Amino acid sequence: MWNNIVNTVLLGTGKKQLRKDDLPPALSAVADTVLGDKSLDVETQFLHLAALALNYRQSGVTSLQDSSVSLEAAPEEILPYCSPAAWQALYTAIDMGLQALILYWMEACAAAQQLAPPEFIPTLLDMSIKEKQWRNLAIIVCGKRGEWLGQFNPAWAFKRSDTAAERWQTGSLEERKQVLSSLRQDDPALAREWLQQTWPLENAATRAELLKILQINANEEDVPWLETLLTDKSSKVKDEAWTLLKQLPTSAIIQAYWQLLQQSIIPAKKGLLNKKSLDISLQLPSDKRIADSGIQLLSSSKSVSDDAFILYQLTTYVPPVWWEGYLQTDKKGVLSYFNNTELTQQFIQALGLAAIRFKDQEWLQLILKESKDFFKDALEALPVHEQEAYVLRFFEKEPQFMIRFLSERNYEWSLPVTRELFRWIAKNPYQYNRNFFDKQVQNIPLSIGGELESFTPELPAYQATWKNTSEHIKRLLTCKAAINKAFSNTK
Amino acid sequence: MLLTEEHVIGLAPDDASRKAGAALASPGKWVSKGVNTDALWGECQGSGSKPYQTQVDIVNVAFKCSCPSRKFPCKHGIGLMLLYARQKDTFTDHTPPAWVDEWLSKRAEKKVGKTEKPVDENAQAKRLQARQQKVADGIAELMRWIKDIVRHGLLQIPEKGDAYWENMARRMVDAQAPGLAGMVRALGETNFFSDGWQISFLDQLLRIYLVVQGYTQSENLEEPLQQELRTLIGFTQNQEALKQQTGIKDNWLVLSKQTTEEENLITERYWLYGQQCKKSALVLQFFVKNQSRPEVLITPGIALQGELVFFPSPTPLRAIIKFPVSNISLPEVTGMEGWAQVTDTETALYEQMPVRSERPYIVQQLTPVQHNLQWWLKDQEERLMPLKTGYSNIWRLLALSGGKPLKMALLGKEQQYEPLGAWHNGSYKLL
Repeated sequence: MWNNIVNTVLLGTGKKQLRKDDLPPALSAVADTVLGDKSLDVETQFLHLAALALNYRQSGVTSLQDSSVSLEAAPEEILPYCSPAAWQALYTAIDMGLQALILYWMEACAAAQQLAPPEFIPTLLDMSIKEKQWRNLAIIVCGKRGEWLGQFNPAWAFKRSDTAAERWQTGSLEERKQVLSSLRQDDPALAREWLQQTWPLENAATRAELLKILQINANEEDVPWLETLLTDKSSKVKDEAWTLLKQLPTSAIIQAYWQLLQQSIIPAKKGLLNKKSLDISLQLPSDKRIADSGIQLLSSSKSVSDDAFILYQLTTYVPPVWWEGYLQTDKKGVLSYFNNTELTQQFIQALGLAAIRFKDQEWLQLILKESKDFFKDALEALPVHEQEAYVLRFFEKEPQFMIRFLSERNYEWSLPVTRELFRWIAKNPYQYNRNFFDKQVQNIPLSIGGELESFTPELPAYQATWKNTSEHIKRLLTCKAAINKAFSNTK
Repeated sequence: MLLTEEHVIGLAPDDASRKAGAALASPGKWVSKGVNTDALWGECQGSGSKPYQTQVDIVNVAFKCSCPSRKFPCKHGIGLMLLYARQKDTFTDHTPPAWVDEWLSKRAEKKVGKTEKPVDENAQAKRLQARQQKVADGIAELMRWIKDIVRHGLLQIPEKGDAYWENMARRMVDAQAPGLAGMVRALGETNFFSDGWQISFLDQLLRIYLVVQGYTQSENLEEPLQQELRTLIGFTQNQEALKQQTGIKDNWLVLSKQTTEEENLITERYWLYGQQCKKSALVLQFFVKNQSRPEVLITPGIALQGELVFFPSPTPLRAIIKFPVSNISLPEVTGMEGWAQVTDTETALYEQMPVRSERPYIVQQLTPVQHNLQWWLKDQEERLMPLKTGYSNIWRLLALSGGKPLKMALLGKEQQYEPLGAWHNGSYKLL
């Protein structure tokens, strides 16, 4: 019926007129009356009948009866939903657009073995489309309902990660790197075996990327295989192999370094007091492998001879503890040998770098204590509590480096470190904005909330900025506290 | 006060106010704050020398702030209500300060003290007669224009420029028929790029025709239908007179709020449903962006206990709130059994008035299902109705449902329904 009416008006009543047959039988009598009324022009007749038909159509709408259309319900959840307090905390985090807190919430929820309320599932899944690293967590906290929704929205049909072995065999390079890193942490030998198994199938760039991961828990069992890689065609692979071997004391190259050092640095007693000192003279010809392994042969500084520069570099690759045996003394004794001349004093920094490389905590602690220099690489090598103490010691000297280092940590900062950091940021309010705190909310301890006003900078121009920033931090911490409280059994 | 954080955030007029309000929802921002059974109040230290005084009339659902913002509620209002929703225990002061008492008593006086100005009935009748003549002239021109379209057909219609529609709409404004002007504009706003535009175009053209025909022959019609047609033409209803009439007292569920903006005029549409009377209602609030704001706070997701007066109509829908009203928790309601009941009701309504807008329904036990690459809602009797094309909250609805039936509040007519909210685990979730 309606098509007939539409077709008529499409052409226009000047060309086509509505007929009685165009209308349903129920309207025939009215159609007769209207079309029979010659006082009405054809346009009025059309409008009368079409208006009538419109209401006939509107009034006659019924629903479709079809028992074959159904939807399989989502399976029942096994895990419980989170509490209303957790619901509220998630609502606030989403409303404030705080990605870090949403992630924090999901981690807490997953750890508590609870589920996100169904109404939040689309939001969490939508966010996980962009944030790939959220996906596994989103799958967990969205439960069976989330999985069920993924049937209807392919963008949400995230695959729960395959097993590590599957990802290693079929994943992207990034995924494979993650798998290998994780395995290397837990089982270094197995990680090496996996890499050896696929080695012939990898291209040079991938080989170099994957080899780099063996730096995690590098150990002497790696040495025989790594030494075979020194003949690889790819210079990138060779460089990575050298880098690794230079961290392993049992490798031939470290042994060669040590041999040359022993030949070139001779203990001696000088002066009237027979003071312990070291005679330094590079013994040539040195092993060709020394240059091949990346040791620079020319000094870049006029004040340091090429020989001393080579020996300095070699010292950074030799475990400091070896010097104790060689010089027949303890650590302090070794240091007093090196401290004796201006030239050998410079080698103490090399001993520090070696202690970092070989993670020799005793040597590292001693050198850090004795040295006035800041060893940037030492931070990573120190245990957490030592890291923070070292950060505090040199914060004034390297504030931005320290802030960057701290912002990359995955633990909550201690109060003293947080105070130092906030005090500096308050005095430099334009360098670190709210976005910085949004990202760091996981690291910031809740107890700093009560102290924020004490960091108010003296410069009046900065006071208002810090006030606004600290208000923002308070809101972040309130939301974080709410999440902690809501999942208090696990956080 | 019953407002939850979600309700307060729903009241924010825009995203900026929501964010700014959230920033003020901290005790440190408030010099003083308190609550009692009548009001919620607080003083917020802003950029001025004096703190801004923010107050919410809890009983009569109204709001005021001394800040210069034209937003409603302003960020201070949002902040104060959010703070109360989050940390009720920090509102320890229960004695209202003088400025709160003064505001509340002024509001009470206003309600009692309004007196009508004397009306010059002769002048009023003359003005009405002149207007009716203008409207009649306008309608005659509009009819010629419509017939012209029908005679020449619709094939060339998509090529007509904006002026074609706007000229006729302006002519209707000149003829003091703004309702018809709006209908003509809506006709010109047909999406000519969509499939089947001819159907929606013809529907709208016929609605205009029906209104015009009904109005010109209204002397034979019953009073409510006459009034409705006059409203559609653009005659306004005296709301003060309306407020004098007896309304329907009930617990009115605020099912949803829809906000639209056109040329700086903001229209808020609140869809309500009476618990006992089972009637749907539409309450409108208009205001000019950044210039004026009503004092009334209506919160979607809770209910108003009070009286609504409906505009005269054979199918009453639009209503005004007769104050005082108070906020209450959403009461239990029983919806219609299924689509058959909805379509029967619609048929009965069309019998009364063929030109109608969509209206809300509450329907028990609806399940979203997929059929022919489209989402539908299936009732207990396995009857299906399609969801409105482009309905954006399908995923939230589906997540709540999980494939199981839910009681839903819907808005629509004919074969286009969109869920406004759904009851899930005993609470009403806005969609």
